Amino acid sequence: MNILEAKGLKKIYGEGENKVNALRGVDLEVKKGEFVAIVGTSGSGKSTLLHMLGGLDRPTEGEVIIEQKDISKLKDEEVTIFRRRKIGFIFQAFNLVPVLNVYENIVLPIELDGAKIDKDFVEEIINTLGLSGKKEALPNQLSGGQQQRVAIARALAFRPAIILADEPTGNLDSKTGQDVLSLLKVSAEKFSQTIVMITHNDEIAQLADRIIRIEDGCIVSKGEGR
Amino acid sequence: MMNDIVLYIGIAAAVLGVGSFLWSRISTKKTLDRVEELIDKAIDGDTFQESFSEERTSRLETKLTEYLRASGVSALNVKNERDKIKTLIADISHQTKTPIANLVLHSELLKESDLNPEQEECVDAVLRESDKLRFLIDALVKLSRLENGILSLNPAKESVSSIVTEVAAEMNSKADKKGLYIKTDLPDGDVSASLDRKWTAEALINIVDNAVKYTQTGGITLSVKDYEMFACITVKDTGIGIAEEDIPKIFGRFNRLESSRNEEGVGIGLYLAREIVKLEGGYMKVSSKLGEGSEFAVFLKK
Amino acid sequence: MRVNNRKCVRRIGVRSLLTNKRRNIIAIAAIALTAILFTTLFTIMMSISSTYETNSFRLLGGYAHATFKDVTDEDIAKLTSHKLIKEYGERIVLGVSAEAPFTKRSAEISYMNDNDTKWSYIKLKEGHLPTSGKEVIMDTEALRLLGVEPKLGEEITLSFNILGFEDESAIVLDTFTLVGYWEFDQLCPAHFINVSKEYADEFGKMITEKGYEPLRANLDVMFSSSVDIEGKMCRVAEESGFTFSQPEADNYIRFGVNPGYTFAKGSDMFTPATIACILAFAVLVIFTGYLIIYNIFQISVVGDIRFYGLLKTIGTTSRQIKRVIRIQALALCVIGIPLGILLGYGLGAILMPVVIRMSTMSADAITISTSPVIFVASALFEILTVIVSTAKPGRLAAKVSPVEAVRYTEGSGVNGKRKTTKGAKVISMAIANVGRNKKKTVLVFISLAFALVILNSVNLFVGGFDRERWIAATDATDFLVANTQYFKFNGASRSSISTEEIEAIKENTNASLWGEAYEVTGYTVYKANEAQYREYVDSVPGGQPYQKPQEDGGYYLGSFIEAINPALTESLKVYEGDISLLNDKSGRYVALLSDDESYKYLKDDPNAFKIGDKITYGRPETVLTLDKRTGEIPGEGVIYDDNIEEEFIDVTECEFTVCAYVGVPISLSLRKGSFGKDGVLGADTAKEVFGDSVVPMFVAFNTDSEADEAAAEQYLSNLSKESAGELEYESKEIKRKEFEDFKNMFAIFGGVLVAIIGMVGVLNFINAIMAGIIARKNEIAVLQAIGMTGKQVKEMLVTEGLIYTVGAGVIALVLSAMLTPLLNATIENMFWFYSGHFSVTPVLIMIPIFALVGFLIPAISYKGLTKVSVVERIRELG
Repeated sequence: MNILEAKGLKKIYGEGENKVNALRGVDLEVKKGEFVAIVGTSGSGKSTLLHMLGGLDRPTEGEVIIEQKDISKLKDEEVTIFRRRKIGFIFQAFNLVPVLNVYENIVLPIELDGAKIDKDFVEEIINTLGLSGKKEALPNQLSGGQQQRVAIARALAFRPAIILADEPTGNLDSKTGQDVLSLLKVSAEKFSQTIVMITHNDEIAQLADRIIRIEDGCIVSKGEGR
Repeated sequence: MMNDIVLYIGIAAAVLGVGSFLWSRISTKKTLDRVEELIDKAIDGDTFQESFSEERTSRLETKLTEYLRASGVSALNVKNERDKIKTLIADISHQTKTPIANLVLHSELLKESDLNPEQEECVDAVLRESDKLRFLIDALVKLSRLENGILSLNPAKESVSSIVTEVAAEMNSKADKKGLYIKTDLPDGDVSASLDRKWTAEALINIVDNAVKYTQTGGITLSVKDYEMFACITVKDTGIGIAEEDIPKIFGRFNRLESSRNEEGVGIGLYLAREIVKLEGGYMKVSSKLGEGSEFAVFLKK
Repeated sequence: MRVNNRKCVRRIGVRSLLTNKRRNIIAIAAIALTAILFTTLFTIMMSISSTYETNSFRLLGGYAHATFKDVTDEDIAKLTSHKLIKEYGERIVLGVSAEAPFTKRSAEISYMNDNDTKWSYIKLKEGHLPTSGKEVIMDTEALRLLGVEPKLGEEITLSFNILGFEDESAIVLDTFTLVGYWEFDQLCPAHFINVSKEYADEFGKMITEKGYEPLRANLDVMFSSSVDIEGKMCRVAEESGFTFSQPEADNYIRFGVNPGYTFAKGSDMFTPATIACILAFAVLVIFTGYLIIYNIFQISVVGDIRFYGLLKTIGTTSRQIKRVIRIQALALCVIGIPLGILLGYGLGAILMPVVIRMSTMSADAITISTSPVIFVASALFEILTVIVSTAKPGRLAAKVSPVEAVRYTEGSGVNGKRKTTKGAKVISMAIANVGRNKKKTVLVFISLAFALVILNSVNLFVGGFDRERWIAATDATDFLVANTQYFKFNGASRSSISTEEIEAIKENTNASLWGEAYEVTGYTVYKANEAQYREYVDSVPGGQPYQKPQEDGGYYLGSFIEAINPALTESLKVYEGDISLLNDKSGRYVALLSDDESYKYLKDDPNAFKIGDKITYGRPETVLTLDKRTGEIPGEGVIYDDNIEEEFIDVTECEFTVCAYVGVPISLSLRKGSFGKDGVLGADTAKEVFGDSVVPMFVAFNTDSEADEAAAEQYLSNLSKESAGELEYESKEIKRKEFEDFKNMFAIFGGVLVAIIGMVGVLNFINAIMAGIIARKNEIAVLQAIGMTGKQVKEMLVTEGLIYTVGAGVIALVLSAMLTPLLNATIENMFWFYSGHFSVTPVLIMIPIFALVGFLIPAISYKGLTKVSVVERIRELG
């Protein structure tokens, strides 16, 4: 069953002379539990695609359906709350709220919803990501790799339908980056998460179960089969 | 006098109004809290007290309990199915051992007797296929046990380097036969990870075996890389490589690629390896280019 | 039922507050400054009100809620047992002394119990209350008038009239021992001389023996609150078995409510004009606060836009983000408001004396109100200002697109293209930088320019006070000397200035114009016909006593007559007629009084006297008044409506011819008036007709040279001091001083206002500059790495600073110039002594000062920046 579906996504920026066709009709399906990588050079539209999938921006045309709900038609407030409950984000940088410590950052989406925190589960995630000793640290006391791990933890803690990662290791050196990616992969397995990761790096993309290539706003390969 | 009465009535009305409003909000909150509590308990798998009253919450409790019981029933069914499978596997494993052993035995005996080249070829074929059969059944049995949670891994802190060395040694002869080298590239100092020695070795053997199968010239290099939270074992070969669109398929069950039709192998080795690594909390990845060899990486948690 | 995420949002709000120290300090300062303005306003308002109240009570002699009059001990017992009465005081008046030395202010000899003593503002400096025998207490001024040292144990001889009886036989002489005294209160209407209860009782016995009416007591009462005193008094009276509506009844009781508590005074103070002023001021303060608080938050939101974008991404709704901003604002208020209220209260207390001088109240009666209204109102207004100011920035943060979080550009998006291709010179970079955050720039401009415009306007206002115009309008002559009573606007009969005194003054001053004015004392009436009488009765509020018409159908109505010597006739304003006739001995001519307003209606009034008509003035021997209801003389406190009948006995009439309608300048008038036909006579005519009743009121004269003026001033000043408070004078010099004080009051007020608004403006500027530099820290580092020298960077920043300050100065200059004609016209309408003029001097002076500030602040901020090396700053970029 498809946990994420995109149908005929188009995104046009600007007008007239300055018109940019960022996405030219993209179709996409992701099954529950898959780890999918979307690869493309810069300017290929992969970031735009991710924004659409995550409800950060609205497509000019087309639908984005997550868990059978078309989020492209939701109002701003609704889509924000949908994101809060169903979509986890891991960005290249600046993921964490600087004024909250590691633990508070991790449980933030849960607290924003006023829900009860499953302390054991959160504890497990923290252990899996090797953050046990850092629960009270502030983001500026962490290394780049540790910050990304916290971002991963946050994306896992509220068990979203899907995690969207945008070049999660882009700002890290290769050694740390490898660790971070590995953790991402195994946590996804362990907690049965679906992940869609964007990267321009083929080697990183090889982590995924499936590689989708995007070029010039169009999907050129879907990497079927398993 | 009149004014006072009206005033008191007004105040009383206001107090009542405010009071009942507050009351209704509190009771709604209580109801929703109770419902959330029920659902939380259901998610955790706890039992909860069923209360029987005219309250809506009571009806909800009953419905929820019904639903869970039904699921519980199916959970029971699932368990029964599982047990059946267990038994089947045990039977297969047990029962096929002897016939296959006999097959091999008699084939070898046959080989020792005088045979003409044609006959020898036939016996070799029989031996090869028996080997394959045994390997296949073994792999399938292991896989089933792993997949159904019948057998479990016991990860412990083990030296990765030593396993790599062992495996390299073990596969050396096989590689040698094809004229291939097996090198190891180990870092100084010991690298350890959390793994089950026996199973990890098995997975690694499958991978190296696969590499040997698909390499004609050159050899295989096993290296170990140390990361902060993972240890990585890479198996690099100078073989035929894998086309990009085929890469996702190689870990598939019984998947054989066009390019490898001619080789031995049943298409389950890599799958088993990956499952083992997954169960240890690690993962595998592969990078390869057609005609330029492949590199398999096994990441293990520390 | 919403999800409960308040704690989470609150945590984000409070923590995000703590990260930006500079913003917090400046915001707290801004909030405090506006709170100071609000609190000062309310403190002064409420203090004026409370001072007015206290003043009223002191003028009335006491602050008890109400009084039951003429009650017996029995009555007292009945009344005081009522549950509404919280406390009561008893006073038994024995007699009054209005002869020397108590001519100016009479002395009342009475017994007061503890409460009554307290409520009459008697606080003993030394000694104790009289408890037995001939013990007495009095104030220090009374002691001085009697020539007695304020020492306990002194023997004092007093002579006074038994209360209510003027004749010789009712004079009592007795010697007392001083057992206590208190500091005299200038506002007190009488000198209280208190005796012991023992003495009062004995006194009472003594006079009844002599055949006089027994002494009656007054019962002063205090309720638990001053709400609806009248209603409470009625209840107490009725429920204690009395009636207050039927004077003839046996159980009739009279009471009076202390006028100081009536709400009439409230409506006096808060006229629509004052309320409009207060609201205008409040709006001004809100505007000032808005300019800076909005800007502070706008700048900080723009700087943190990525943070808000991130929150949005994680799932914080717009509403929650607005709440985060609001929480930040309110948290800052928690510190800023109390600070501002404290300082504002102090400032209000300091400014009170300045305000009081503008009113008729005395400066030592100032009470600084501690009413909670001050603090609550200030806090509420301040919170309102803050909420209004942070609304828009809150909305800006709330509607951020979550994509902002993933954008990595520093500084707010620079939209559009840069149209020049001239290359990046320092100045054009500075200009472009200023244009980056348009809202911030506009607000700083407005803030600074506003302060300057207010400065200029205040200066314009105060500078336009035309002193000579004021003096010329209010004073007809250089000097005017009269008895103190004359200046007190007292309606009661008052002492005159004696002929010896007039002679002395004339001798000792070199006067060029010498005027003498007289008052026709005693009860003067004029004869009105039926129509005029009816018109009069209808126009007097509260009714008029009933009068039987005379034989010729005429009625007598009270009037005042002033008489002036020929020198003063020049000063009269003639509406119609010929005033030279006043000095014409051939006939008896009178000029009737009018004023600008009334004269307009005079022409159409059929009942008005015309030029050439005859008017009859008369002097009754006695006037009998009768309360028709009781058949007796009306008691105290009875309203003189048509239940009272007046009968004029033995009226000596005299006929005059109306020769003119005139207006008399206030400074030369009787300073009192009636509803009748007041008139002016020539001095000789008046003396001829009314003889001894004509009494000198004042002398008014001019001096020609400055030397003469100074000499006269000196002489009169000494004279006034030596006359023991009998003589007082007005002079141009005094008027000048008064005017200067008046002007200075506005100057002080204006100055304080300008200072605070100026501080706000400068603060806004400082915040804008510092925030701008911090936000562009990395950018500047990159520039320096590329090759821009430190000096060039400083040049760029200083240019930006100068654009703000000098730009604002120029805007202010233009605005002030444009506003001046409008302001002049408006103020001239409101204040007649204001002469419009053109001045932009303050702005011109401030521009170089602003320029200096515009140079220094960026320079200093830049220094702080360069403490960190270029490399480190760039590293932070990633």
